[in-house]
Amino acid sequence: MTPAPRHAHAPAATPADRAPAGLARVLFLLSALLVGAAFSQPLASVPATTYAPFYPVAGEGPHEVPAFEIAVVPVTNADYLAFVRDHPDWAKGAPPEIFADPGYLAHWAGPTDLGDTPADAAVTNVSWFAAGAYCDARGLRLPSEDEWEVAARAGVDRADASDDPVVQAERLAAYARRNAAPPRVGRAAPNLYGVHDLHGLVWEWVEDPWSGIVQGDSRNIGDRDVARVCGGASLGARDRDDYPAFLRHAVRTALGPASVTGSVGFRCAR
Amino acid sequence: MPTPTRRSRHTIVRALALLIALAWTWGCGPSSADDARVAPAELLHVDDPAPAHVDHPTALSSDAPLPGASLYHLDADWTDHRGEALRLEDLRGGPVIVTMIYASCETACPILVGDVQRLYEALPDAARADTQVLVVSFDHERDAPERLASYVASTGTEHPAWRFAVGDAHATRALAALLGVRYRPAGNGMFSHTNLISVLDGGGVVVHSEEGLGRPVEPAVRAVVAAGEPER
Repeated sequence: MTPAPRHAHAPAATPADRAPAGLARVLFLLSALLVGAAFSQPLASVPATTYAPFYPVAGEGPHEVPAFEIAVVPVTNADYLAFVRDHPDWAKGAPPEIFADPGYLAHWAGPTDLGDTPADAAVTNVSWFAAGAYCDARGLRLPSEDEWEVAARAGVDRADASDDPVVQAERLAAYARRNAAPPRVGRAAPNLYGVHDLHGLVWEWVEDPWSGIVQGDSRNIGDRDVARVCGGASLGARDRDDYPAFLRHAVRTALGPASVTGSVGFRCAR
Repeated sequence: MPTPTRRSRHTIVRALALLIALAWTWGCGPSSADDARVAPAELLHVDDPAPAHVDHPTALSSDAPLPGASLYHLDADWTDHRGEALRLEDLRGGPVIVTMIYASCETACPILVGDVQRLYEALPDAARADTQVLVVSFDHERDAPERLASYVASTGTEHPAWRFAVGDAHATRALAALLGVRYRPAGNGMFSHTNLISVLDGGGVVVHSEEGLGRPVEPAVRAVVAAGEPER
């Protein structure tokens, strides 16, 4: 079972921020009561909306994003341990390399032994295949990139805070602080939807991490996937000032489906 | 409006962002996804008849274990343009040329399929006799087997060793990710996508990938011939 997330207001929260955060907390606890018995992590609801892709291809408009639910915290080591106990083919050392690089669960002491790893920290060193298998076993799925970005652009009190330079600066600072401490989940203030830790803890897998940066259909002979190569991509970005989004896309596009790193975890959706 | 303090903080943050981005993109070389596609040398040859069965549910029962880097671990059901069920492991044994397209693609895909045809025809007779071709659609919502059959008929690519196949959303994404094909709907039924031709050895390990259109076929021909040799 996931330890109940602890709530703490971010130091920068203003009094105006607190009322909606309180409401979100009530909603969070309510949803935890409703679905806590069925799922190890409660899910928060996000209403239908649109999302303008960060790297639009020529003529591409905003995407329709139907209403979805997303876990309020990332999957923890304890959650993942329960999963591998039921699915030994996903135990440390078990999956073939096509599904997980050799560093899979490298921070664990053994196949079912967390060692010194905090049980309530976000599980990392898991591949895209492993993350998908976990969510599938829970009757859930990985969020799409659009869904994850919609959930993550929310601030404490509004659905899109990505145009606020202060919020963006906090997110970048949070990315830079990663790996300084074990990524214990649920300690930061929830966003508008009651979702925690979208920016503060770990990078997170999405179902389609490789679709964000794709070249347009082209018949230029000898054309390569130039958009993926370093600075080439930033030229096509929707908002060149959205550095946190740029970083997230850079990380996603650098990962392969079997990649594992100590700073990439995941959460499920449905 | 940002205050001057916020603006200067923003500048620091920009510098920080660039540093993090550089650290994460690992310079201007190929991404790690590309590296992941390159199989370790010891797995390129699957000729040792190891007695131990791989005890992994995604590995289908077989006389010899699949190499760890084999795409044939992918446990998914596909249907080809003849309406026949297909599992990737059915292709096990000889080299396989793989590419991904979609049937309503009017620009790149006809060239890409033409490139595969060029490659196939350039193979020495003996190698070609052992080689299969797999063309997978990433437009799994619209490219039903009948639609792929029409595509095959209209492009004149019907051949006993060629299969045009379609699967479900997750299997399609997994195969594309393993091959290094990136795609996404771009509206109006069009897709943005990578143009990639891959060569698998008899064990389903990617031994060669060629990105782009109208590329010379010689490197891929050499890869197919080499991939066929250990199985002979």
